[in-house]
Amino acid sequence: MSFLIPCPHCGNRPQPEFAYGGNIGDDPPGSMLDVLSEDLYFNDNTAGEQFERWFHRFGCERWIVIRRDTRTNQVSEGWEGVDAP
Amino acid sequence: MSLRAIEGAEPAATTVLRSPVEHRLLAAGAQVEARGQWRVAFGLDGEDAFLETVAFADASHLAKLEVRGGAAPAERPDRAVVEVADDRWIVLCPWEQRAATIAELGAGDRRLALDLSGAWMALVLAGPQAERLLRRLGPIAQVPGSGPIAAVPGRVVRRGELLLVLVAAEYAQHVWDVCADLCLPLAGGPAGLDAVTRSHPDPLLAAS
Amino acid sequence: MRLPRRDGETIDRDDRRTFTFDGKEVQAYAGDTIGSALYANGQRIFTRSFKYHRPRGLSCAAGNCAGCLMEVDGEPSVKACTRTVQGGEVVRSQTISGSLERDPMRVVDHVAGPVTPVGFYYRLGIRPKAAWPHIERMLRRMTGLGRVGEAPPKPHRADVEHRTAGVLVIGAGRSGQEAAARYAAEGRQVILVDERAEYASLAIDGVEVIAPGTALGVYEGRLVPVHADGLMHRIRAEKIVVATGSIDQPLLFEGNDLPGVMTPSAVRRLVGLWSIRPGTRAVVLAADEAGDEAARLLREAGTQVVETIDLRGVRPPKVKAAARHGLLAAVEIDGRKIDCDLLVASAGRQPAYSLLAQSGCSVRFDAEKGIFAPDQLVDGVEAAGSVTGEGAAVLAAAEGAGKRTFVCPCEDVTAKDLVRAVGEGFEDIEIAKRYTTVTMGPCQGRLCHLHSVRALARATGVGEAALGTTTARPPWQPTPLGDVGGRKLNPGKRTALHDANRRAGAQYVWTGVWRRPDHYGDAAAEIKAVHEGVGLMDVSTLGKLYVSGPDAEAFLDGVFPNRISTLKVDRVRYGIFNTDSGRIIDDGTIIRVGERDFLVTTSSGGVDQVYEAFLLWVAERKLAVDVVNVSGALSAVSLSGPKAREVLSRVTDVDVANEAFKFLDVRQGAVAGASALLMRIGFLGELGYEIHFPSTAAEHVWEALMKAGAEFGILPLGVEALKALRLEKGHIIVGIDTDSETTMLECGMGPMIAWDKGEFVGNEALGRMNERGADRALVGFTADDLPNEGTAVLVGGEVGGRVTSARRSAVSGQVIGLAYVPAAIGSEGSAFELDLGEGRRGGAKVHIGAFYDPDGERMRG
Repeated sequence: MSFLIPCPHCGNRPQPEFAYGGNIGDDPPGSMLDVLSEDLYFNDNTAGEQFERWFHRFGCERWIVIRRDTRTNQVSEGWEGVDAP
Repeated sequence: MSLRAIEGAEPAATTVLRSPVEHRLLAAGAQVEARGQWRVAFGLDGEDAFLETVAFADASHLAKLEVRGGAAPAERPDRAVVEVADDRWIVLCPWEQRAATIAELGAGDRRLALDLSGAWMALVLAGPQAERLLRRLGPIAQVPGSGPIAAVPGRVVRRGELLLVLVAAEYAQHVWDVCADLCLPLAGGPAGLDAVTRSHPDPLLAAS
Repeated sequence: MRLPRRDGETIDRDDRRTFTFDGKEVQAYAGDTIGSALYANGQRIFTRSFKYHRPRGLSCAAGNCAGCLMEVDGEPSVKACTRTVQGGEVVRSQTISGSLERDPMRVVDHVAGPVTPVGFYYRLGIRPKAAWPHIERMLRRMTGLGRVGEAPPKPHRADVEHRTAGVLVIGAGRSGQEAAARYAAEGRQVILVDERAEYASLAIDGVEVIAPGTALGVYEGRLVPVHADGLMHRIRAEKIVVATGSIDQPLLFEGNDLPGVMTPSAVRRLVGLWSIRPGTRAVVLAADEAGDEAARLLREAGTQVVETIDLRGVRPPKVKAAARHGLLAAVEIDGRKIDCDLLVASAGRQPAYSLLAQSGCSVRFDAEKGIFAPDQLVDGVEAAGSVTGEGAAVLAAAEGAGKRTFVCPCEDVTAKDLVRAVGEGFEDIEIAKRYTTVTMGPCQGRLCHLHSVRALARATGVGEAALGTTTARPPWQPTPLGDVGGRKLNPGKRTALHDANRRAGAQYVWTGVWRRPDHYGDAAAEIKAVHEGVGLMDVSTLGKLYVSGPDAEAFLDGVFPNRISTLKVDRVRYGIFNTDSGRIIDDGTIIRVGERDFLVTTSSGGVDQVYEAFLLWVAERKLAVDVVNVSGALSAVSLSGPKAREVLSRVTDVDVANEAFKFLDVRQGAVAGASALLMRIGFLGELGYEIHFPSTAAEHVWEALMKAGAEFGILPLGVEALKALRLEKGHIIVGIDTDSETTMLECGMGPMIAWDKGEFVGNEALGRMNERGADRALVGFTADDLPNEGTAVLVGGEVGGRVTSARRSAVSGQVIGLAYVPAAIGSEGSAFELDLGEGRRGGAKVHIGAFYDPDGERMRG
């Protein structure tokens, strides 16, 4: 794991500088169990691009959002904030 | 604001202030003397020779202010402004100017200007191999910048030919030890800040 | 045999060096490698093979094979052919029992071959089971490459240098040099790396050359570790140019591993670089122009070239090499025997594409040329020269290989072994690789990958293109693990009082990332001091977050389950921090220092995750609040015991009288001249103050308090005293008494939760669990015998929980503790049993509330 994350404030930085904060789900809620359980315990586990939150521990100490392809670790872009653009 | 311990309240004249690596410096043979309230180390064995290759010196007696909101604090020859994010900076200034700097920087639309001097160890890297030492300390690709220093979060800015590194005070002794060890194959070692500023005059670092 | 001075040789004949090999002195020149110097001195057997202990010698002279592995100054498995002679090395042969020339273990080759086919160790010793340990011990002694720790290791550093490069060119052959020069001319910052020592003196304008230096792999984000002279350069490159060329592939025939059989490149290097005559009578069998070049060089060097056969376009001859005393003595070509001591053999050249494949490039089989070649490159990675497949081709192996036709000499895997593996069902390329270990040896597939794929393709009948290749992985060249791992960094956090504590006799323990005093020599005395006099504890490890801004109150109401808005200025309240699923992750205190300003303390290990969770909450709701991590800026001590007030009064200007400074009050003032925040809390069960002050003055404040407390017998307190004292009060320690599933409801903290205040972290999950009721409860207990932490709780003979903390009380002499029990028995006085081990059981009774001073009179007094 040495891919680069484009931090909107600090520029391209190695992934180990960041803490992972989970993906931003886009499943329709309530499709399997109730909304709460699904939110808490069921990950989308997407094979492909997803929006993720990362916290830049070794830099600006901010939460950012990136779009990452889980198959290749290609990160196409990074945004300020915690919401999918 | 109302947590006075981080608002720059002046300690009593008799209060003794220490760097987080004072005891490492003493163990390295430094002499330590009182300069104002601070105990400052100087006169380490071999420091002038180390400066020919690479030396590292403790500058933790500088004031370190956490500044948030408003415009970027103005640079001055006796001040170092370390950008953390676009609304957050760590400002280093001589200890004596701490209260005035907090007053100056805290004015206007500033959200916070706090004295977090004890939160950081300030480390100065000097000598022709200083950049190499930084590269061996961790993967910080750009200066000024941030990233791992001896595997803990660090920040680096340039002061002329010198590098000024900030790491959390809790990790100060760890980083000091790693620095000392990395210097061995480079024929470098610890120096007092006096020795560094003799060869590299700097109005911020030479202030005490 | 050294030749007269030649143009282009890399040795410096005026600079003589010596080293020892198996105790004998060996003469060398600067520019020699250990391998070249040994060869020049007539050494032919360099090592013995991994499994059959067959003699092996120099066969590629380029670091591509395992024919020259030796121990150099205690470092095992060094490729002697590429290790430059510095002078003074102590070199020893390895993988031998006896001597290189006479190794009694070579009988394995003669007798045990048929009974030790590929994978035999998977089948051996399964029955009887008891035999396996003996067999394993024997196998371990007989096999393997080199020994770790046979010779004392030289002092070794493993430093890492983190670099960036505009363009990193890997391979300093013609194409690599051209690419480096071209990018340098464009003004890019260029680093050129090559594993061969002869490029050490290469100079190209504007190019930094690292040679010898091995690019070990290409990792994500174009990160390339380059191992050079014991230093690991971790190079982050904007662009990578792979110019690793192509590698002479061995010809497959009976005896193809004998010392004396070598590739054309070995001849080129022996003659060209080191001016060594490779042999006296040579036969050349090659499938490309490299054979002609080798023949020409051999003639120049005075070797008699008996016969040169160009294998291109002819029916592949049946070749068999014969040995005398372990060395090549003759070769039989289609039954025709030719005496020779050198057989130059090559099936052609295969692109060295491994680094490209690691970068994500796809690889396809070119049936016409018989090679695997890179196909689709990825962004930021280029290929230059013959690594692209340009000019490379490899002949198919002849049918009917013999029983000593080695596809993979490193691992002693023969063509027959591969056929056998397929016969056993290992048809998939990745599975066959793991079963046979083909390509897993020190050559990392450089010489055996293509041949093994083609042999498997033939055995399975599916064809190379469909069979595919194994995944290319780092390292591209074996590397000492110590250098890969780099310096061991175990960052420890130390408080500003670390050295003051040490002077006071602290015995340190690791508690998470912190170094903390466990005790100062006598934990029992420390506990007694708190109950009867006064104790001082360094609690600077607590996380401290300053929370300030217009939305601070609303923010804290959102992240904590209890109500913070009712907390008055200059008061402190206990708080629990939960996950979204309602599980406890941390606890601490919330101190209100202003209308919109708070100090939140966290546990010692919890500050980072609480800080990040706080910032996430702030960002999600776009609140006007700043969270400042002041953990390091402030140090803290806890002053506890009946004499605490008196001690404190001597060093502070704060009115500490009980009515002026009540339990859970907060004050700010000077302590020993430093600006401090003081609060009255009672974690340790006695009158107590927690004092926070700037870390710069930490030792000063500590010394002042110790001095003021001297007449009351003040003692510094370690973690052991803390754990014992808080247990008397039934206080939990997050991480010791809680696990990842623990909820406040289980800990009896349900009443703290302000259900009606709206959304807070974990409210939905906690609400759901509250309706359902908890299954287990964390309760206090008393017992007859002292259990270990983790001891099983037995209810009706069944495991129903576990002990999380237990001590013998210094106050009552009773065993007290905390344990999880089924909720059904979580009431005062319920009996259960403890599984004390070895069949012993002890009685225990549930105790609700504090064991010591249950009404809290002492801490409020």
